[in-house]
Parts: sequence; C-alpha cells; structure tokens
Amino acid sequence: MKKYSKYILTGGLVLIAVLLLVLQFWRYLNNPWTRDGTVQADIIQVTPRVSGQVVKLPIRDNQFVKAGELLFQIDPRTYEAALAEANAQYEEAIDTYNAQRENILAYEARLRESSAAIDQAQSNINALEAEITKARAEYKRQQELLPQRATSVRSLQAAQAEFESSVEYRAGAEARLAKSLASLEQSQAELAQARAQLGALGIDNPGVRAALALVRQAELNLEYTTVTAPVSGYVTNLDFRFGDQAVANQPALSIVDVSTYRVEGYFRETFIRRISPGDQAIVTLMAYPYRPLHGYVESIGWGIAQRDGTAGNDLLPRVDPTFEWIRLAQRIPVRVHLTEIPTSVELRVGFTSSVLVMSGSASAEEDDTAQTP
Amino acid sequence: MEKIPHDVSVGGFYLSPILVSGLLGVLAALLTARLLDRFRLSRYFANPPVVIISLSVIYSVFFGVVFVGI
Repeated sequence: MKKYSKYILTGGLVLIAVLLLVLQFWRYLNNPWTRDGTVQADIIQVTPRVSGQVVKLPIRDNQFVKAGELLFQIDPRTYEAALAEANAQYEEAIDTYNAQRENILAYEARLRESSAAIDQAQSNINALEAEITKARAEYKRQQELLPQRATSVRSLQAAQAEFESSVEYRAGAEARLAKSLASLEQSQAELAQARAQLGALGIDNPGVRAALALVRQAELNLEYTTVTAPVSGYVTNLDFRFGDQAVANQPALSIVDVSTYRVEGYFRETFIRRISPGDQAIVTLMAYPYRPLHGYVESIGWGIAQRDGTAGNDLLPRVDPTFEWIRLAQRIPVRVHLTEIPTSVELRVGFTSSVLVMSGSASAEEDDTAQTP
Repeated sequence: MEKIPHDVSVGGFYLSPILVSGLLGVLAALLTARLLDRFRLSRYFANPPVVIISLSVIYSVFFGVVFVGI
C-alpha cells in the first residue's frame, strides 16, 4: 500500500491541476474579456449657420454647458439691417399689391363705363330709328302732296334732307356703338391682365408671400447669430476666440454629449458568437482600476474596415500577402452601455478600459424578471 | 468574491493578469518545492517535476481567481 501511496498523491495533484485548468478555461470561454476597449461619446461639432465676427464668447474651455445655453454670439448688426430691409420690402410688396387692386377697381369702373356707353349708343340708335321713321313718313307725305300742289318743292327738299341726315346720324351712332363694343372688349382684356398680374388675393398673393418669406429668412439669419448648445455636454478643445470670424457651415467648437457615454470593447471574432445584446458586462477603466463599472451589451458592430480588396494600381484589388502560420483574429467593436456611473468616476472620451462580458446573462436576466411578479 | 479581470500595472508596464498570476504561481510552486525538499517531504511523491508543474497550475488559478482576476 505504501508503495502506491506515492503515485496516488502525485496523481491526485495532477488531477486537481488538470481539473482547475479545464474549469478556468471553460470560464474564460464563457466570459469573454478584452483589454482593448475605449470610452466613447458622441461629439457634436457646433457649426454656425451664418458668418460674422464673434462679439460674445461666455464659455471657457472644458466647461460644462446645458442644452440651449449660449455658446457664442455673432455680430448681429448686419443681420438686423438685412431684416429691416426685408421688412421694408415686405411693406413695399403690400403697397404694390394694394395699388394693383386699385388698378383692378379702376379697370372694372372703365368696364362699366364702356357698358353704359354701349347702352347709350343703343338707345341713341333707337331714338334715331324713330327719327328716321318720322322723317321718312314726312318725306313720303311731302312727295304725295307735291303733285296736288299742296306743298312746295322746298318743303319736299327739306323733308328729304331731314330724312337723309337722320339716316346718316344713325350710321354715325352705329359706328359709335361698334367703337364702344371694342372699348368694352379692350377693358375686359385689360382687367383680365391686371388680375393675372395681381395673382391670388389676400395672404395668398405670390408677391406678398415672397416678401414674407424673405422677412422670415432674415429673421432666421438674425436668430442664427446666437449659437446655443444643442446638447448638454463638455466644451472640449476650444480653439475659438473672442473676435474670431465665425464662418458659416464650418465647425467652430465641439461638445462631448454627456448622455451618450459608452464603452467600445474590441473583441476577437472568435468570441463574438458568445456575446449577445443584453449580456451583462463589467468595465474596468485604466484610470480607475479598482472601480469596476457595470453595464450591458447594447449592440455588436456589423462591420470593420479592411485593407484587402481596395482598388490599387489600374483599379486592381490590393491584397497583402499573409503568413500562413500565424493569423490574427479580427476585432469587432461591442458597444457596452454603462448602467451606473459612480459620481467619483469621471468618464473622458478615449479612456482605455478592459471589458468583461458574461455570456448568456441576457437570457438569465430575462428569466429572473419573468419570475418576479 | 471573484476579482474582475483588469490590467496589472507594474511600473508603467500593463501586464495581462494571466501572465502575472502565472508568474506568481510558478514562484509559489518553486518555493513549495524548496520547502518540500527541506522537510524531506518530496519522497512522498512519485515524480517531483510533475508535482511542481501541477502545483504551478493550481497556484496560478488560485492567485488568478482570488487576487489578480483572470
């Protein structure tokens, strides 16, 4: 027995060692861990929308700003002048509109006048018609009376002249009627033209609307001279001074959005299949090694940039030769949302961190929540 | 309480916790072997080198889990 006790003791130790090794390896597989992680946050590049000199810059570098707080003020005077000009143009447009409306009223009056002239010409013609009938009857009577010597040749000639002149008068009246009709048509055409020029009435009038839009644009431009913080966060690396020229659409300063702090852990592709969104994660920052932060996997990246396959000379794919024996696993970013950040920990973008993910903890937690009533 | 894995900083070098716990385990195993020899306990083992290797693994896992965090 004593002879074998040596082997039993040694074998026992070896067995324990192998068991521990297997157990540890199993734990390692099920709790992927990476030293390659960084703290990230959304960086907002604050960009002025109008150009001008900065006349007010109340913020300092690395300062916290709340959403809506004034960041800087661009000289508003030119934009105030532009607004005044736009307002004047708006008033002018309204005046033009009113003048055009008056014009239309004038054309309408002219139209009525033409109608009245037509009526008058018509009644004139009717009156002349009666005159002609009367003159013709008189002329006829004189013609009948002359052979009986009951009238003189002179009276007959006078009646003839009367008749002929009334016929002429009627021709003149008809010409006036035709002229009045033409003038009516002209007035109608002029009215239609004036109406077309004026366009829609009231607030829908295009000229008025265009002027109003210009006023609104000038108002907005004036508003844009005050640049406020779009989000709450830290002003970072402020390279912008009082008196500098702010240029439209060119970023002036950046703000680190505090509500978007997260940790990106770059895990080897061999571990990715063991990680799923919702898994518990523990983050250790190099800056705070003894303060592990808790969080969960928010999402896993769907792609990383690769060098192989990009177009090289003659648009042929550039492929680097690789050494067959040693391959490096690619790393995929895993986004970890931190659930709780102690007040003593101040996160800064770019901090190095290590990330431990507990595989399968997402479904386990779901079960827990399902069980609790 | 299990330790959370994190880099171990030694004079500005950030070492992997596995490396640190492995080194500690090997040192502890060597020390144990010296003591076993000293107190003439090595004779109870069939193959001392295998015992040292096994002890290294056991100590490494122990230090790793309890002190360093692997």
